[in-house]
Amino acid sequence: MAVVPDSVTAILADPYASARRAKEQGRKVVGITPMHFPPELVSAAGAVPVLLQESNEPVTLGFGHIYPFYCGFARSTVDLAAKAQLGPFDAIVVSDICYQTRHMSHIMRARLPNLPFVYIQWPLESNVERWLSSTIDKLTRVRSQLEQALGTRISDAAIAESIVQHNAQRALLRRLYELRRQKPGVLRAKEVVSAVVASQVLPLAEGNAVIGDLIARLERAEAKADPGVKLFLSGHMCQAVKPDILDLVEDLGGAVVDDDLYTGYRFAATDTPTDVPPMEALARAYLQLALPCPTRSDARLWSDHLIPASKQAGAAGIVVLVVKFCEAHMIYYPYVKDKLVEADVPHLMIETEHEVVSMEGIRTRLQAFVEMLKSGRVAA
Amino acid sequence: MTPPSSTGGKTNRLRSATMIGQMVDNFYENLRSANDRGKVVGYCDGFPSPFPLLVAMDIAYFFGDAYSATTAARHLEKPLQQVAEDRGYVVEVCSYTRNTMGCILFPKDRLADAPAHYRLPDPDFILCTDPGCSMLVNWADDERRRLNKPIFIIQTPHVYYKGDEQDAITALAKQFREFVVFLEDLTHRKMDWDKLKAVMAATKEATTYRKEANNLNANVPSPGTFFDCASALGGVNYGVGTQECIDLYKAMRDEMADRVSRKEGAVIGEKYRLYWDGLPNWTKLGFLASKFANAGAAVVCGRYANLGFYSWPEMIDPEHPLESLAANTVVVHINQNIGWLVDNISKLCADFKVDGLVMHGHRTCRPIAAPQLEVLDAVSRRTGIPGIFVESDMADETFYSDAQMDTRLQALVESIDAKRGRGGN
Repeated sequence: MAVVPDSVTAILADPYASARRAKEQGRKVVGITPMHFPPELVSAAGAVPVLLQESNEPVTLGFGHIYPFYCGFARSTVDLAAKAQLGPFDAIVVSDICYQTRHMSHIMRARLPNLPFVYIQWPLESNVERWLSSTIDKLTRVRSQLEQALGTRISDAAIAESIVQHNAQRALLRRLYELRRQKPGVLRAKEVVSAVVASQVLPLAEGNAVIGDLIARLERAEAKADPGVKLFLSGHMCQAVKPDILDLVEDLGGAVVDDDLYTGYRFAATDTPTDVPPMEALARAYLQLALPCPTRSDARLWSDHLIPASKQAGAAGIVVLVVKFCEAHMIYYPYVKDKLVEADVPHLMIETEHEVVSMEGIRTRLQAFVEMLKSGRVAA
Repeated sequence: MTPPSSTGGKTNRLRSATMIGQMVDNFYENLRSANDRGKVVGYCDGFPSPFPLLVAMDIAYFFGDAYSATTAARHLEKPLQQVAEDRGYVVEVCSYTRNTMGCILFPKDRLADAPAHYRLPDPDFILCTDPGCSMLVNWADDERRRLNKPIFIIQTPHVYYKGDEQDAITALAKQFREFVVFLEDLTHRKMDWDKLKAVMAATKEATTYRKEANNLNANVPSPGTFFDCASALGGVNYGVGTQECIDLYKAMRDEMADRVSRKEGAVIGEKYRLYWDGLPNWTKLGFLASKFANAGAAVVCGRYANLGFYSWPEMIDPEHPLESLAANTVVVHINQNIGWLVDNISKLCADFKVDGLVMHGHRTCRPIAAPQLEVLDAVSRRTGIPGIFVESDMADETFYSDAQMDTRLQALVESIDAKRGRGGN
């Protein structure tokens, strides 16, 4: 029985369809570059926050503006800007978390001179108090720029209300993840990813309805007696894992029980505080990330989260998915690898690309990994 | 592939450039003994602007970026890159990072037979100074994880919009002040502000000579090249605030001024004057200097040497050291938007009478390479100067293709010739 309706997985194929409809109905739509920007600020302006998604289209015109050795998301987004096909946006929020996002946005600005670009540079470290006041100042400037771009005022009360609503959506996503851990293999991994993308691109109420429906369906489903080799997916910053790769993991006998993917659990992991003034709350949500992010300096170690999380989920192994040219992850991976080996946790690292060059190579490696886990031969 | 047509040009290297090698040797010899001498040691990545603070507090520093460039220029990088790759750092990671992490992770049982250059003192802290490259924090945080030392992060506010500079300088000066407190807490010593002012005065004097030397390349023939000026950045990296650094840049300035008076060029037979965008390829520095000279091309300027480290000594006020350091960090090319780059590179091209642009698309330094396609297009449209892209790297020679370099350099000089044939300058 298909637990997830087709309309949800279709979101991966056309993520901005709903935003276009909202725009036709007279709502403002704001595109946001990943990661970390609080959608609450856009919702509080009465606009629809839409997290930019990597397109499925091959990069063509974009190569006239960006080198091929930048991450797939940057290349894809520049390509869409060069083709004037970026999306139905009234403004773009540039959430500067790495130099690729930054320079991608500069190129987009050059291509789309009439589109307002609102910019915020996040501190390079999280969980360090000394960045709090400057982060509030930056968010306050963004708030003012959004007000100007959207022709509306954003009140503290609206932000506070928006925080409650977005926290509710995050709680729904975490409930979905909890159910998946209890009933692995019932939902396909790409279906869970689709639900997260729904929360990133749909108007808030629509997203909540979709996730709520999925939860209800999953609650009614029975757990599988033999879901397959339980796997934990890790990494893949900024952009969703391609459905083809997720399908491959499961078609080869794997069952994804949990993840810390950005378009996954990470997106819902951190609630915005409700016990401090709203602008401080938005800053603290960034400075107090629930999961250490490899793009930031953080006294907490990623491996100290990853290893217990995979064990709690009952995973037999971890598939680390690294976006090619994502330098933050490429630099963190060797340390995580060392820690996984020390802890005797089997893992497989797979590098993903915008253009899927060879699924066969990935298939062979995944097949070998799953078979080794099945046979009890450790592949750490 | 046939090399570009030879014009019989050849390099005429500056004698003063040899002072840098000795300066670098002395620096590393002192650094290696820092632990034994009881010095506090910082491992620093990114940008050298906080170094006057370290000098004033008598703290020894290892500068990963300069170390990696020097390692590559001395052809010592491959074993380090192999160690890094063996440990899981893929070749697409910044080659500066791979060189440094390869050194930090170099097997201890192989050190006895390894070059002295691979031996580093143990650090007491890690410093990341991001002038516009977020990856630097990933590198520094990797050092923090592996060496288990405290880290301090300085993040330059990016000049996203024109007019953001002053707020950025104020915010960055505040971070430098916080860094001083961090150092005071770590060392249990107070900053000697008078000493810092003296270090800043020495920095201003040295970098003023350096800027005068760089600007002499506007003469025809050019008395120095971009390759000379890029190498000379060793003075700032390794000797900021010292008399040795002042002497180096004064000697360079004087030698180049002498050449100007005698119309002696750094490329004998200068026929073309080029701008270089991005970092040099340190593994091929002399090789490329000869290749360009052989084609009659003098590379006379580039944003790395002319719009980078301490390129605005007039913005240094020794009485206001933190604000001066902040100003010289915020303004650098890597922290700027495309509009600023196009304006300033176009101005360099006019001032230095440039005929052609060479955009060095270094594969593993993406933040500096990122705007190059937009910049070349805009500068060429504005100035009418043709340009080429060459893809290689700053410290990993496996990304270099001699055939590509030959073809594209040939195409550039032919474009310039064709333009001149049509009556262009």
